[in-house]
Amino acid sequence: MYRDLVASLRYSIEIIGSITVGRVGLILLTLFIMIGLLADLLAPYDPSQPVSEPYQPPSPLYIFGTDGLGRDIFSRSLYGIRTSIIIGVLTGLLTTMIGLMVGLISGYRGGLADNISTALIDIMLTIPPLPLIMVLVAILDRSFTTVILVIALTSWPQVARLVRSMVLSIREYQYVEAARALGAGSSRIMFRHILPAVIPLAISQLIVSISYAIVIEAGLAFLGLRNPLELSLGILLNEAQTGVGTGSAFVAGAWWWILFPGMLISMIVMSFVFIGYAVDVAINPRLKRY
Amino acid sequence: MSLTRYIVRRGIQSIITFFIILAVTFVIIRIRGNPLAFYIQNPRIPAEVVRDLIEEWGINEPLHIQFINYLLKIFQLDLGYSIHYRKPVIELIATYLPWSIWLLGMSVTISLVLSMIIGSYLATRYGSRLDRFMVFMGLTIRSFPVFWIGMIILYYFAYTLNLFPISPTTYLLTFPPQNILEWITTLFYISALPIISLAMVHFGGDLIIMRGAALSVSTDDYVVVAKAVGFSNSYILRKIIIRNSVLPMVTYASLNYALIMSGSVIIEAVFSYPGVGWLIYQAVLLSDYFLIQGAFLILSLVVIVFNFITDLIYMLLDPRVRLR
Repeated sequence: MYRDLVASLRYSIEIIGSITVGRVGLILLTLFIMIGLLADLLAPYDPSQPVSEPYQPPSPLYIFGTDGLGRDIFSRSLYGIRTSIIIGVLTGLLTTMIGLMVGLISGYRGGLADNISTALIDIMLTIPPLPLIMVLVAILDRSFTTVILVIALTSWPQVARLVRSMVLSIREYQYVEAARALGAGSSRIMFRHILPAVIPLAISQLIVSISYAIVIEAGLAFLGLRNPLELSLGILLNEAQTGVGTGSAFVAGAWWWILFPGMLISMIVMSFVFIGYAVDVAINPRLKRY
Repeated sequence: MSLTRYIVRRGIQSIITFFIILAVTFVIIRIRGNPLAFYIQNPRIPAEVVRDLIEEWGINEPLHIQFINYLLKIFQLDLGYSIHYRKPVIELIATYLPWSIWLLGMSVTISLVLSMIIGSYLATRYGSRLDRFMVFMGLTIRSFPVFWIGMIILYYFAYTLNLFPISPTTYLLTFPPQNILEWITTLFYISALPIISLAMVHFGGDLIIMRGAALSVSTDDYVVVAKAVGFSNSYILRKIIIRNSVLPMVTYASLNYALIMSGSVIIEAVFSYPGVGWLIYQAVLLSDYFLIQGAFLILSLVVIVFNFITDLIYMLLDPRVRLR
């Protein structure tokens, strides 16, 4: 099972890399992961201390300029990238795992479990996710763990639905029937025979979930519903919108305070979208590769 | 299946969904125990107001009685009282909801129409430089966080160029429109930027989907036949490709109302646009529980109603659905 996963991951990366858009995505993503890991080394200044006059436009010293308290936006962004990627990846993994399990079990087992989970999925897909997440985070708390759990618990239905419909068709394949005829138990069939066939879909959904989680986390932070000490790119934008004890970026004309953090979020998400597009092309041969 | 039976069945489904959302909301609001505890500590709120609310909603009763009480209240359209705005929640929603519907409706329509025209055209120019460029643009725009696009548009058009108001809610309060003409100009004046921002974000995704739909239609046999017969390209595009690509687009739209609603909430927060999204944002920041509850229920209800309407449209467009 573990070996299957590694093999299919390596295979996916090869295929993704063979498509230009996918290659760009992979390179961008590697770059951002490196930046996230090395934020402490790469940041030229302390992200939480004023290092200059407020509202300094970008210059060789402060390449992204400074914010309303004179803190270096570039250093703050580097730490923000780390938070965004960590939250995105953890949430994406959790979302995909839940969706994969629910989809697998309800698709293979059918019956009551299937009816209940399908109904649940349908209902959860009609609840607008962001307001729900906002309300939950506001009522529970704004910490790292809560945000990850809340986003994952509200976004797995999308994955589960796709996995379920794929399992429904795989279940009828002859090799599965053969395994059943040989007396394989249902958990063996599910994990040994059906799961590997669903893995490509799960990988494509993992990518979608990660970029979704990054955007939602940024949105929550932007709305001021995150702990401001866990520096993230959305928090920078929240400070730009509301001002930090001083005027907002709008009033101060500090366009750099808005432009750079948002551009970084977009580029991180873009790297995932590009990879996702390449995965779709690889899975769906009807689309042409370029 | 007959038309009415289909409509009735979908209607019942929608009602059940709404009931479950009612129950979920009831639970969420009470996760941390007494939802009014926050108000009791707050010295700014008169003690008798809180006492009345506790009395009225039976907050001290056992949970099942509270739940029945809650359902009865909701069906009498009593959504409680907003502590922050000092008004009944239903009144607030009645004034803010039309703004949200307008924002949603306009941005979705603009994006759908544009992507239908451009997407199907791209499908006919499949693989060309323009096609690649637009796909790239679509994927790029789709990666932008909605609120960031909103912030940039707000910064440039409202603050730098002074073309639009910096805060629609304040503008509406300071210059209340007097007659119909003023109403219409105000409406466009304050909603133009939020609509453009939202439409832009939707357009990124819609374009990709429409192009894909048109592409798969354009390899279908009847299109090949039409080409062989000698119909002009523009005729095939207008009369065959666009029309047959509409169905997948409608499905896509109906799967996405919940997400679209999320985008519109955050855009309302960026622009302080007087919609239900702005209300729920304020309510969440101020822990105004009745307003959170009411606004959340209304947002979900809007999605359910939109879904229902889309299904009806789908059924009219595609007779096969009725037969299923």
